[in-house]
Amino acid sequence: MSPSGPMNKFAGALFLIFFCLLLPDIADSQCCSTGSPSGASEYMGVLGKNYFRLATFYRHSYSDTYYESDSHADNNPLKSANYNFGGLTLGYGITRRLTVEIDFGYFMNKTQLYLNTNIPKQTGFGFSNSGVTLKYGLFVKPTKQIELTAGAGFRYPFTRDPQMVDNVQLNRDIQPSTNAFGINGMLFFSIGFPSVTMRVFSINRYDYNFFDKTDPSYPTLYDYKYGNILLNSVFVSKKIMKYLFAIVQFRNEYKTNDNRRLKETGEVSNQVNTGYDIFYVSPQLSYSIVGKWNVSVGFDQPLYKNYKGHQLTPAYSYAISLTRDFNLGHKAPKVEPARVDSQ
Amino acid sequence: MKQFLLFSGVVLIMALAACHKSSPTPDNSSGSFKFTSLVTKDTVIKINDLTTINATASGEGLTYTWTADFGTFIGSGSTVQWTVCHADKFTINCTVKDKNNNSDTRNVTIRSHE
Repeated sequence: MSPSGPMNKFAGALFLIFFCLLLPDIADSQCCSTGSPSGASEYMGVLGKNYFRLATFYRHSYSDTYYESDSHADNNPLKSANYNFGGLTLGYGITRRLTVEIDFGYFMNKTQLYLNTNIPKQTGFGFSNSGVTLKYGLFVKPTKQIELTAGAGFRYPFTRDPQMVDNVQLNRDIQPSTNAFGINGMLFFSIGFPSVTMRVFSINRYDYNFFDKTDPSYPTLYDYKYGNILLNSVFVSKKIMKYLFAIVQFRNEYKTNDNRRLKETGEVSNQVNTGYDIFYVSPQLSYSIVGKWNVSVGFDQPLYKNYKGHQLTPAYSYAISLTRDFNLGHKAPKVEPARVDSQ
Repeated sequence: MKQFLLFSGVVLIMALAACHKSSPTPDNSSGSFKFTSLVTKDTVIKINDLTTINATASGEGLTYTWTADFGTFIGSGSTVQWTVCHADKFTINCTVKDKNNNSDTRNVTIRSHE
């Protein structure tokens, strides 16, 4: 990745602010939905000062198997479920240590096919939640290829009310948004081993979701809260030839149960079929096009799954992402910002 | 300066007034709008089974809006079917509105079991 030519640094900042107003998240897995698309922003540390990052990705996920605890389950309502999701993340290095990121995403579809042929195919679509994250480099030594970064952010929905079609509310599992606010915190660590052209990254991230709060005129007796998610992942990247990197990610996702709260009394009940613990392995390939654009393809394969209650489980998912960093400053950088696909 | 502040105040008041969302006042002077009943065929179902829920109302230009915090609706209008994939107690709401903006909401409770 080489820096781009000189550009007006304010143009990048204004562009970012503009998109801050637009943005969307991650819809959570339920008893009949397929899981959550991971954004690109979670996997990167701070940018250099005046650097602007553009990352887009597309993810497809497919499910056709139910689990109860850590084994297959029968008596299932769905034949299969799938979603197609597109995401965009924009990042800007305010200082050498401080980066702001915004992300949003759109479900092209969240679809369920029932085994009962009397039930037609159910499909939801639309903007997911949006997120704003501030990342601060606690320890940044680009020359030694070491970085420790902490981040915190919030997520917000575009609408507080669930999606309706023909005046009928869509199933919660195919809603594109949680319709609720959330906050998150993350820790990113990276260390490079130039002699063997390798990098090791780790990311720990915690997402806390608040109860939704529909419009007072919306006819529901309950508020709903999606479970909180703890995500821990380790990446190992290795340059295998010029411009080409192989990456392996090991990831654990732990989600607590969802909760339902009776509006009238405030009584909270635990939603049984909503929590899980999943280990994934995700092999990825990343190619740098003339050292500027990076194209990555990855495949998520669950290795271990443990569900609370009876839930649909992801069979597989794959993603394609396109990323580019722009140096909006006038000075050429001494060292490029760290990424999973850089060396 | 004083004039500027006065002008700003007037603009602000006008802007706030413009932002105020006023909903049309319902008119049921003829007494033609009435949400008579909301009835479910089953109050207890097995998970993944379908049940039928029927709303009976009178009035002109009626629209029926169905909501539930869980489960899947099939169909729309005055009669829908509903199913859910796990065991619990659920509330299904129906709001009926007529062309004069009169509306009423009723709900039924359905319990699902394994």
